[in-house]
Amino acid sequence: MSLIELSDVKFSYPDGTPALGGISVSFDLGKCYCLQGPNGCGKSTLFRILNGLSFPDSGTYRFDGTEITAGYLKNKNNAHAFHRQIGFIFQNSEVQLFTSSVEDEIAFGLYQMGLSDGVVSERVEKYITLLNLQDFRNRAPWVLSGGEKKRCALAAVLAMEPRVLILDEPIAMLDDEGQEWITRFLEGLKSPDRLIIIATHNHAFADRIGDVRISMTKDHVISGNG
Amino acid sequence: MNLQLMKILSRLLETEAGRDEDRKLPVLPWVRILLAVLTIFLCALSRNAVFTYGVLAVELLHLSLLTTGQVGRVMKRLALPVLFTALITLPAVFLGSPATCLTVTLKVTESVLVLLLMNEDLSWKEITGAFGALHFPDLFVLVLDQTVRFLVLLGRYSDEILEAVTLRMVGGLQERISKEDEGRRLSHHARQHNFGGILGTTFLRARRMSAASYEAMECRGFDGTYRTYRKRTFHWYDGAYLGIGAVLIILFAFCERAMGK
Ligand SMILES: Nc1ncnc2c1ncn2[C@@H]1O[C@H](COP(=O)(O)OP(=O)(O)O)[C@@H](O)[C@H]1O
Ligand SMILES: [Mg+2]
Repeated sequence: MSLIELSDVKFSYPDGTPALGGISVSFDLGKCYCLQGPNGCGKSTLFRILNGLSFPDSGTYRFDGTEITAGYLKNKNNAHAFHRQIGFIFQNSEVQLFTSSVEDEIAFGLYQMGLSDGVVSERVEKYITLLNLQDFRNRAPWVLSGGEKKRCALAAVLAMEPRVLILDEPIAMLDDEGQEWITRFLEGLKSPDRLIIIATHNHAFADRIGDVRISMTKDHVISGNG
Repeated sequence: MNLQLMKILSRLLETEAGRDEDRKLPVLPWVRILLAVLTIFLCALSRNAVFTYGVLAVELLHLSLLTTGQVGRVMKRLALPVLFTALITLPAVFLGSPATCLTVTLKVTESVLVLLLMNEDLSWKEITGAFGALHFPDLFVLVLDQTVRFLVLLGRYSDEILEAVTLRMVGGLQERISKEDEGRRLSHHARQHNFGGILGTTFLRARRMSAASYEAMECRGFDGTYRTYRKRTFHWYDGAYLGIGAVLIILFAFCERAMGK
């Protein structure tokens, strides 16, 4: 059984815009998937569903065997258990970073997990070092550059040590140096007990990092696994 | 008008980016804020010049420890409120109580100076954080933080949109040269229209942003509690700083009793 299983998931936005037209796909632990497709084909929408921010109009989404529905996530304990396993890097880091310092940003999720102060500060230090954020630790995330913001978002999400990491166009807004840094970093993150799903336009990037490539078409469906 | 205000606010809040971390007083933010509030409070209550001058002396001493750049910035910000107060209280001189004018101006100067000196050391986030340390509800701190963040981001956005609009209006300039009269009227109308549009767009953006931020929090398991990451705990120099507060109160009481009235 795959960690994530979608079967015939359909979704339209409240204003009637169709975004997913029957998606069936599964994602296995230990692999890195690259999701490709033209603008507006529904990649971000699919990620919203995977993260439990939206729910299928029809079809099912199973995470580790459990069907994820609005009702299931209403329960606080279920929501906690679910969210700590999936880390999501938004396309726009600006909206994702909401605290007033890089340290706070990393600590936020850890406090939500109910970790003790000692563990929290240990993890904060670890991920500040890992993502090379030492110079900005007391800065507000919104004064950072695009690449620094991405790194801060990665630190904040990875500190929770999720099994699944989902990234929406992680290198789209970065300069060459930033792209190279993130690519290297993501390569280093690949491991048998982690699942990585990345939406990207960049073919070279997908070639380099993806184990499996999935293409979506502008009709909001998957056109065949690679 | 609103746009202008937003810009000024966001500038003010963004200045912290250039702060010099090493020169900061190593005192806990909430201790500093407490002392600042105490100083302003006592200054306002004091009916006696010795105390007022004493406080001023200490403040000037503090000021002299800052860098030239900082002193310049503090002075520039101090000038307006002081001048303003002096002007307002000026009639008192002609009404026969020149001392009132001097005292009030002096007290205002001191209060503003306390705040400006504090602002040189503390960023807004340390100030909002201090509310947390003083056991205000964490959610209150979160709301404060979010408000500041939104002011800055929206200020920045409206700047960007304004720029984009201005650029587009430059394109309209050539047209204006050819059809002088009509063009001028048109661009004036367009400008008015655009300013309304900018506020509207900014508002929509704010809504979308706050929804997305909330989702980001949800993704990291947000359940209504918020804690700020504090690694510094109470230190002896925080105690020493609080001691200054105690001295201030004693001095105040002494001045009031010995020389007041
Ligand atoms: N909040 C929304 N409301 C209405 N329609 C939306 C919303 N977000 C996205 N869409 C529409 O849904 C479709 C899929 O969008 P999206 O998932 O963002 O695509 P992608 O990430 O692949 O570019 C597009 O047609 C888009 O216009
Ligand atoms: Mg997208």
